[in-house]
Amino acid sequence: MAASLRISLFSLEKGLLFSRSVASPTTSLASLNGLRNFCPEALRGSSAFLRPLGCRHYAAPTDKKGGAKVAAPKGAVPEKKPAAAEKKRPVDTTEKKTYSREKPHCNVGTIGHVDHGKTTLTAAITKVLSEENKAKFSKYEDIDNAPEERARGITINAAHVEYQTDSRHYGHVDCPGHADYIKNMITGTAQMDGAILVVAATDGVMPQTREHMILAKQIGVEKIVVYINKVDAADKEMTELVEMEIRELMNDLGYKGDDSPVIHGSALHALQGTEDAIGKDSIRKLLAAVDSYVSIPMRDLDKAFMLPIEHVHSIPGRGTVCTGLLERGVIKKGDPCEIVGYDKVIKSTVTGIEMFKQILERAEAGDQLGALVRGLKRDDIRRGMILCKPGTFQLYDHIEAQIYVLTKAEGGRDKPFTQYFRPVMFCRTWDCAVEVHLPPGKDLVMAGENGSFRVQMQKQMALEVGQRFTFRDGAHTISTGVITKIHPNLTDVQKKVMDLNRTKKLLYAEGKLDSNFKLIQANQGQKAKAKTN
Amino acid sequence: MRICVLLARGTQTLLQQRLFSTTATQAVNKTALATLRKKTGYTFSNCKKALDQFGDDLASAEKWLRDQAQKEGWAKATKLQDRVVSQGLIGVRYSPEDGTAVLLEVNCETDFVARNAKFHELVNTVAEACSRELQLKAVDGASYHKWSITPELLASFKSSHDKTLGDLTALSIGTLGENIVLRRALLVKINSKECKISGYAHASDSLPTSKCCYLGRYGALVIYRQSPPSSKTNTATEQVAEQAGLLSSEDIGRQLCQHIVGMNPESIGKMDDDVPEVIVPVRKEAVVDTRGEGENDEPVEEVVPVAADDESRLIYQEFLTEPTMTVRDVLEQNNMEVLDFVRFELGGKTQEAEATDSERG
Repeated sequence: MAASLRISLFSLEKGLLFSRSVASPTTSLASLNGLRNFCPEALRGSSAFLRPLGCRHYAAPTDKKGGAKVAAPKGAVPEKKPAAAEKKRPVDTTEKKTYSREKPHCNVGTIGHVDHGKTTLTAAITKVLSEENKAKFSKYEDIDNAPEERARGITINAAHVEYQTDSRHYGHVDCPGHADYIKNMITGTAQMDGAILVVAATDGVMPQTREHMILAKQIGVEKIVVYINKVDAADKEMTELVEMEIRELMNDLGYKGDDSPVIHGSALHALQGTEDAIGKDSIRKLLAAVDSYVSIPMRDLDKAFMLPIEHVHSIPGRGTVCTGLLERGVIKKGDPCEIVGYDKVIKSTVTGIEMFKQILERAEAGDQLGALVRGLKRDDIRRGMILCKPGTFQLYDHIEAQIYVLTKAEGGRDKPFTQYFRPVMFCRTWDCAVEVHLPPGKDLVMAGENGSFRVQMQKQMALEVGQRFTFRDGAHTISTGVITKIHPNLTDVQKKVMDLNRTKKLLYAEGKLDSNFKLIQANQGQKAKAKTN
Repeated sequence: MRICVLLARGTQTLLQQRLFSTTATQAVNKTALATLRKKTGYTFSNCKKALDQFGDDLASAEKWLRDQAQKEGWAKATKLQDRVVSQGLIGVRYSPEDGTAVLLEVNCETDFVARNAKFHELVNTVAEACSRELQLKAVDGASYHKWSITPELLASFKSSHDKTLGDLTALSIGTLGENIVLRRALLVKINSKECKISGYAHASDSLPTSKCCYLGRYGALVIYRQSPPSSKTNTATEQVAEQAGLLSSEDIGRQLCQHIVGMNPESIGKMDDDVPEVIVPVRKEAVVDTRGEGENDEPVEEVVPVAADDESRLIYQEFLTEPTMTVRDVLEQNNMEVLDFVRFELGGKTQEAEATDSERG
């Protein structure tokens, strides 16, 4: 019992820590986004603790004898109490407007030429929706002069706006450049689920529109809705031709150009409230198209369960318990499971789940829990492995990743990195020494740049595409990245080469070493000659 | 929509239309508009203007558009001239044979445009025009000359199509719809008997590079002298020479440029300056063991000059591609001497101090 209390307390601490860190009164999408997959059921289902997630709540005092809840007056500053007591106070009083989770969240962004009216369109959307009380009107100037956002220590140039339609809640981003979008994609701040391409009917497709779409492809946007702006300044034929051109270009670049919705309108008229047919109505049509065409990513709760292991405890008389935050899915008592990581895959069964000293029949994504696993010793498992549904994760040690290198101002280092750079990769609860291989023709990577690199790992870990990680080198976080592709696992030769020193590696890459990693004969002959001379 | 696609197939369809049907002129206009747009790439509004003026005479319309483009470009350039240009490309063009090199920066508003082929073409053309200017210049007996070119002067250079670079820039502004600025250029000509030149442009993404012009966000040129290997060879240099023998002098020149791009040194530094020395255990094995005999893994304590992280003198920095050595070691091993270097970073400071011809021998 004492042991289980220890776990509970530990979990409790973790839970508190977690909720405290995310419950900060921020309206930035960065935090909303990270939490968007916690659905209301998950929160209700789990303990009151996780409620503060995503919005700002203050716990209210509760009657000690249990049950009768007394709501604190609005704006009252809650007393600081020991963690254990706080746990029993499930009633919340909101100080700030509560973020409603009734509608599924979706992130969209505008792309297009600088003069084609991206910002005007964004302003117009908020204007039209604010009339229905579904958004706060953001003026053109406010969006245009958006301050630099700081998320995870990385500066991101983007304007964030939020609004909702009848069926969804949207986060809307507008980044000024290619590099900014890529950075967003890598760091996971405001990942775009769909894009709105803005093209002016007067100009048509610009040469760089191609680059805009290539970018969208690169950051994983599969659905593009097109808004042809400034139709009031063009005639019908021109607009139709522009539409044709766009569809053609989209087909060229692998988008479904023929099926993509194309809306004609004038963002300026919508903003000024004139000519409703091409103004306000076009915005409504656009939003309806986004609602129906852009699909929402799967929620974490609906996925197979996965728990990154934070600690392993051995409890006398019961067995081995691993604790951690259930990242996705639902775990039930008796579920078969696999523990994956550090070159090992271990099969087992979850024989019990505990949270806050209490036994649970099922735990859901977002729960901080301890899982009792059958037939395993404490030393079989270690922090960094994951507990998951059998067959959902495999061991890999060779990946392709899109990486952003932090500048010194962002906490990185000044020096560039070169071929065979060896940082430590941190991800979920594990870390591992890795080696970075630059693509052919590239010799160095400067701070502030991003690119796609091959990463070889010392140990096989549970990896999947879309997983985010950071690289650290001694005292610095050097870069942040996302896995884009899994390569076949390393061969024995590749592993041996990893153990060589850098000079030898370079020689090996040039084919100047034999299979025993000695310089090949031709050179030695020359050397012998030089010696006799 | 379908009909419209069919109509857009080209002038042939247009002719058929005119011969066989008497549909409203609107449809004809539309086809003509599509054709004209496809052929010239100018904006729909301009194509329409051209058609309004010349009716269905596509040839004249096209001619008018092309004439108009220059004017439009300049008008647009004037209109956009105050907009901030923070993106763009650095172009590096060098030719060891002629002993000429060009380092230049062209700016635009977004990096989308900087990634567009039309913009690459512009930078290439500017680099080429600079190279041709260089042909006319003489070195006058010195080892090398550097000319820093002001934007105004740069705009007056002629391209191979006999248009000034200013005109070409205006044309690009017209097509790309973003402000574009020829920001700076540095021309170098060396006396190829005395020294060598090497260049490198660093791009975050792989950019297409034509045969002699490299594009990127950073660029560097290095001018160096290489004397023939000295006769006295002790074992240490022999071993290193072997290692270095794997690299040609061009490779080292390129690596030096990479180093300059990566480590951003401020000065070359003098060979007899003070060097911070630290005693560190050194593994003899660190250098590749070419002999393949008795490997001595025991760490040996040695006094080794260590480059501080904030070292700004080139020769005392640790060499980027081989961090176990300083640049000075590399230069000594290859009997090289760096005479000068230039580094351009996108959006970096222009060196006003170098506005006038600098000359060193």
